[in-house]
Amino acid sequence: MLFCWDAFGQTIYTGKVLSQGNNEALIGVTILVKGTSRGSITDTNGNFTIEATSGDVLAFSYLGFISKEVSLGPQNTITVTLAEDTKSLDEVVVIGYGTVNRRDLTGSVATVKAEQLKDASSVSFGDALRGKLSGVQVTSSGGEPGAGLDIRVRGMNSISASSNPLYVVDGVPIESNQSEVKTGGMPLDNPNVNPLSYLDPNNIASIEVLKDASAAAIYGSRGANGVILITTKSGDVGKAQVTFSATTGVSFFNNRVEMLDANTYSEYIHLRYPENPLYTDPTTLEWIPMEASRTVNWQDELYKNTGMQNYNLGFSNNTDKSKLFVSLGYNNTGGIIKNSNFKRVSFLINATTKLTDKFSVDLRSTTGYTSRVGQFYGAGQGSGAGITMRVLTSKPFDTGDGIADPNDADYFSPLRFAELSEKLNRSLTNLTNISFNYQIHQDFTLKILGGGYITNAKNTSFLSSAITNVANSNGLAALGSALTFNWLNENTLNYNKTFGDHKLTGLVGFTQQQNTTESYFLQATNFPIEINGADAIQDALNINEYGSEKERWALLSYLARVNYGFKDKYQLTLSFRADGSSKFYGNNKYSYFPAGAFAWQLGDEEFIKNLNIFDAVKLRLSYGLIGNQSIPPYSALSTAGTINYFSGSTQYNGAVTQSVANKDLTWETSETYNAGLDFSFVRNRINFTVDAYIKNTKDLLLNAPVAGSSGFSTVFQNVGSIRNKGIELVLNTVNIDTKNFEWNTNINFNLNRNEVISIGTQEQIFTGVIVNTPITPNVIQVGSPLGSLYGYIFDGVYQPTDFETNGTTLKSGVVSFGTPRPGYYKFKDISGAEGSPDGVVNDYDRTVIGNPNPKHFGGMNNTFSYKGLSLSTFISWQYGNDILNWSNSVLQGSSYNNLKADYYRNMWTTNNQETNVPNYVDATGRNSPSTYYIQDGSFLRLQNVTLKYILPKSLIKTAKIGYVDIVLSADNVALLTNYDGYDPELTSPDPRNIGVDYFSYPRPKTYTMGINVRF
Amino acid sequence: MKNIKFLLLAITILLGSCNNFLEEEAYSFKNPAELLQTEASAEAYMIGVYDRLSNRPFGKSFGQGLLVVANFGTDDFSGKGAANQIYGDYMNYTFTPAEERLDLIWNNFYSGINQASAIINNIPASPSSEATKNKLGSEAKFMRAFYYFYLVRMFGGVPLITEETTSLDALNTPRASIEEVYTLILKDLTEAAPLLPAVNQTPAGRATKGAALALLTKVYLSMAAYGKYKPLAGYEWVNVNEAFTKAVTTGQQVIDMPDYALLSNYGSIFEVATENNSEIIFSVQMHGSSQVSDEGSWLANFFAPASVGDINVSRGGMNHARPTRNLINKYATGDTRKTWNIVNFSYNGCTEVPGPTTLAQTFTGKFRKPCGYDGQHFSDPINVPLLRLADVMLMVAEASAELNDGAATPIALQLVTSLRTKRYLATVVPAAPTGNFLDFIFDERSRELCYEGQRWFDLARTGRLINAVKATQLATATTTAPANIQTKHYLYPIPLNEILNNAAIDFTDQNPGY
Repeated sequence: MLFCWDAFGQTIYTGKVLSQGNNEALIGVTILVKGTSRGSITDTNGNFTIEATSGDVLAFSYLGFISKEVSLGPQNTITVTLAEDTKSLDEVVVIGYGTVNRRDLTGSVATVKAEQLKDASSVSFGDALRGKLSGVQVTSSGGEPGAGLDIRVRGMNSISASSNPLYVVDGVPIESNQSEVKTGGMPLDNPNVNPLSYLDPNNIASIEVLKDASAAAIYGSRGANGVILITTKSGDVGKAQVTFSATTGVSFFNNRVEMLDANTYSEYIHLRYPENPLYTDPTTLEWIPMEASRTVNWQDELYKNTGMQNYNLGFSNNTDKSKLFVSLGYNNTGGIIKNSNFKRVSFLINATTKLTDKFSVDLRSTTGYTSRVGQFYGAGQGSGAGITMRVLTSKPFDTGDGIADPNDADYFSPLRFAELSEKLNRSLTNLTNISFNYQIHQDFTLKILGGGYITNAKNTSFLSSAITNVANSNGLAALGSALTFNWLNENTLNYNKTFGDHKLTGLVGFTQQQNTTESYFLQATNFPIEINGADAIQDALNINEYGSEKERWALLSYLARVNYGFKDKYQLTLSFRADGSSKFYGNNKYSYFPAGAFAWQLGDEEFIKNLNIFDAVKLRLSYGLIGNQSIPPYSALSTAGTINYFSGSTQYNGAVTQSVANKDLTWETSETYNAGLDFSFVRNRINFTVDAYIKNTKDLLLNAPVAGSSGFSTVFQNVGSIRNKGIELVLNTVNIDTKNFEWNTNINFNLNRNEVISIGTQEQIFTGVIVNTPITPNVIQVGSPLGSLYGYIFDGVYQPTDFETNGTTLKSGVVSFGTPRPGYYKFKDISGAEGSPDGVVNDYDRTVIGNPNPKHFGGMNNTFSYKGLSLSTFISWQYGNDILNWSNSVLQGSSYNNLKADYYRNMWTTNNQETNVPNYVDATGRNSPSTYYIQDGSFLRLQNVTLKYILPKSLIKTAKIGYVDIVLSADNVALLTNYDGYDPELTSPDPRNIGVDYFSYPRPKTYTMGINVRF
Repeated sequence: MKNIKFLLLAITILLGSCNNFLEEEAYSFKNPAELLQTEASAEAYMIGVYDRLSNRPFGKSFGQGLLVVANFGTDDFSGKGAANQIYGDYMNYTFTPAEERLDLIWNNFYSGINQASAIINNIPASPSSEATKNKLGSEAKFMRAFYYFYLVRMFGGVPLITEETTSLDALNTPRASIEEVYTLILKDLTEAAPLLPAVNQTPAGRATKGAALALLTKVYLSMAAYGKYKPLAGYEWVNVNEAFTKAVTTGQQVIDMPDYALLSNYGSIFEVATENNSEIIFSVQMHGSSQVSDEGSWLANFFAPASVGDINVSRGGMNHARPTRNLINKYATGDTRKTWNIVNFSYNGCTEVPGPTTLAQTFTGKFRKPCGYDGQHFSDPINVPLLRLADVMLMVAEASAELNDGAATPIALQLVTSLRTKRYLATVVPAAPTGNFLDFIFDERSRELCYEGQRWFDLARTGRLINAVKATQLATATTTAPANIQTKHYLYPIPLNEILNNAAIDFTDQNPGY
């Protein structure tokens, strides 16, 4: 301490702080002698001591209670009661570069507090958000622990720039692709890592989602997809406290797809491949049946019950001058597929200290090490099929070792595959910021923040030489690493003044942020000794792909915001941000993002008051511009890269021009309108919020195709526009509120409509990619929603009556597709080269066949509590989205792959012609996306049931424990859907394939038991 | 504590940004404009122009796409597979403007042209030596002419661009006339030829004087034939006689060069062990091994005998291409080219296994992987020959006969005889040409150059394409080409994407019939 204060003339006052009503002692109440820096805090019995003089004013503040000021009289002992702050509208909401009381909020902000997060067994915060926030749609690409999440705030706004929101953790904006390791190609690409998986959800105090322009425009060029503010916990409750929580549980997956058994499979292969001597006797041409008893259900072999455990230990201390919170966390979540799991070790230090009454320093630092072990899933990468595909497609019996059928050389037992391949992702992230707050003047506070994050990620993968498809390379290892350093400096000056009916707060600031990522990768083959795999790359004889990359971007911004409140009834917010980005040229570097919002406490007006219905009514209106610059750095530059060129067997390196400069490239801008109403009725027991919005995004950043004769095929350009519009409803009710029993319900309902308004000169852009195929199942076209599914319209199967007597020539008038035969896929002829049906089904007959965006979605939470016991149930739903179940294309007759049993029973054969299920022989039809594969993805899921019991104080008091609860929780309890894949909420691991299910990693059911203790 | 104000102020100023904060700097890529600043990087930039001949994905280069387009769909061979094979549309003449290989080839060649133009226009002002400027500038001119020559023959009058594209203002260029394209090709080649090194450079596969003259011979012969036989509009400007005469004189210069000589073993021309031999004037360099899997071609996949057992170590391939009866019947006994180009066996590793007897299997055998090779299939290490001595000899013979109303001339006879003598078994004397001499030359070109991507262009420039394709007699393969081929097929369609994305070209500019 550089200073001390004069203690002479002081008296020691002692006292107690109680809660009004039940007279319980309040622990950790902050007490300040007004006008000085002297303070104190109540202990576990609510007692405090403080030095003051008679006539001083003591200010008592406590979270969730109305602050109180008490003038000191001559008595040395005082008792103060604080009233609980029941108005939910008065909770503090974190907004960009500050906080605001919910009552004063003008924008559209959704909030989740720690209590709503902590009881779920989620590995990452994103899972916990599922269905909880209005306007926020969370989808994951798979049920693998630690898998990536796609979070969409109010629909998709962007074609090629990211549609992920901006994450801001303790004030530091994080790029959502930060942990992507550049690997130059297969088979390391691992884009599904959740960038925030390093963060322990136990340490999150609140999550706020900034949805409209008024809220998000302060983040300017990065706010267009919404902003998710994550605030970690501080030690602001209680004095010297230790918290401990432990959760353990089990995950399992019992859904099974019924596949053919060994006997039926052998019959199928006998019919399909009569030349294969394993199933057909070469001389008699008779079927060689395989006993059904040999059947192995690979799903039973690979989907295993697995455990999870999570521990969190926290220490906090809160004195009048300093707050400290330290936390340690450990998570180990097994995957339900053999050899997959996720581990995290994390720690956090949040500390604040007041050096003087005007100057404070705040440190926030989170570190997490994550390890994700798994394999190739889905359609796999580089090695053909991944585990989730093999588990279904593999022949239903064990051939002992790998290859038993020379006619099916690609076959490999999925169990062996799981043992012989691995994919690892390890990542260490530290996010730290230090801020200095200095009250320059009684109305002005200066805040200087310096911080950032460092991520070091390493990916490795290894495929053993025994795996057939890579046998020729004799073992394949890939390894890559990326080091990201992102630093941030923010300098803001806050103004806060109340005079009479006028309340004015303001903010001006200057910020700068720079991100540098350095990565390298290499791929090695030919391992004479492959014991150590990718950990001993020196065992490989050949390094055949390698590279390194460094990239940097920077942002320089100026921001300002003014909030003006009049008579606590009218609120006006104006904000402005100017962003300069390194990604654009000259005059286009800077762009400006203004926003304005107005809120009116209608409930305070006489004409509403007189209705005697509402406790509060608030109208919110906002308008603003927000941007998106999530394109790779250097997109506007002319670049040349290096290529390999061989002459003979000597390698030469050449340089090729790869892109042409686009000096006009600029920001994607979303113009956003929002209107909202907040109502409270029945003594605040019913709170209802409705928001309606329109978001017009223009100047879409797109790597748009250009005339090939220019020497380039695509150039990053600003083309086209998209509109999202929607309605969000939130209803929070206290249904029953008696002394011992309480029943609360929270419902959110969301409806978003997305439409592509224009895409420049293009008519259609095909975006979907199905791994290892040229198939593009998604289209962007004017008038349709983004990512619409595209293909033929299925029209049943060709029947023998469609053909002339020779059985191969179609009768006139019958539409032809490919080389039709009875039992083949028949599609509708809707157009042709001349723009009208021409009798032939070809590219002209493809059309939009499905919309992957739901018509509406939402969640409902019910909490029942009786004394210390509470039960909460959480239901989420999605309605009206289409899924292209592309897995079925493989499960319905792709070469030697096993078939779905119901398909085999129902498919067209000469003996079963009364069916609309095509025969497996037609590979062309089977491999064409069509309405045949489109299914309704609507679902209703009982996502979570949690039973919590808080041990009565009387029981634990003797043990000197402050608080104990025991939590039993079940996740993903039940699912109601017509979708016939594993899970309608999981689509392909490739984010380009919206609404395409191609062997996703299924989501398990998880039962957990936990205990939370506070000392 | 008073000093805190100043401390904070100082921090703020220290953190104030520097001028370059928002500028982008190239770390892991190059600024193309800087590549000509040193001789070594200029050399690398030139290699980048060659790389378009072989680069991935194969559909756009001689790795695969150009082995399919303008090669399948002749009377020399056909594909064994069904219409859904990658070559199905070209084998059967069912391609549409949307077929992706057309687009890939178009884009790839134009990106080569763009980079060649950058070198041609910018190297004179670069710090390189005069010798390097001349050499690289001339190589770039050769390659630009090469790319335009393929484009003009495949697509007709294409956008003629001679400036590097450096901004979005220059993205859209209308189609030029066929004459304008040829004028540039002739200009580039005649300027390049005298400045190029006479013999093969290191690395092999680069432009030489011989390559420029051989290509020039082909250009003259091509324009003369199009001008004479008029299968297409747009060649009316050609002075036919002058062009044939120049084909003779230019080709003769190549034949007279001491660097080129016929090999005594026909198969050795194409073998990897003897690649870049004295018969090869210009070829696409391919490489493959167990370690490098994306620098090769599909030559063996198409044009090698079938393989038994592990295809990666076999001298054979997937035997997709099957010779036609037309080709098989063109050969006489004692012609070593027949036994090399048409085979009835498969390979197990390096061992010949008589082909399955249940079907009359006849395979193509021209491009075989080397014995002892172990590499990823579909990345065959065999070079793709584009210009070779025998081709030039036959071109000179043809042009010379054209100048003599189609009758043989002494020089033509001498060239044909010396080639045929070399190709026959020492014990067999090849028969003298009989019948129509030009027809004979055409058959000789098939015998010599089959599967080398010459036949389609030969048939097109002489107006023989439709009749020849209609007369195709298949041995074992299948094709619907005879029923599908039409006049419009003398040109390929402008790729759909070019029409959609080029503001200066619309659907009315498409080649007739598409």
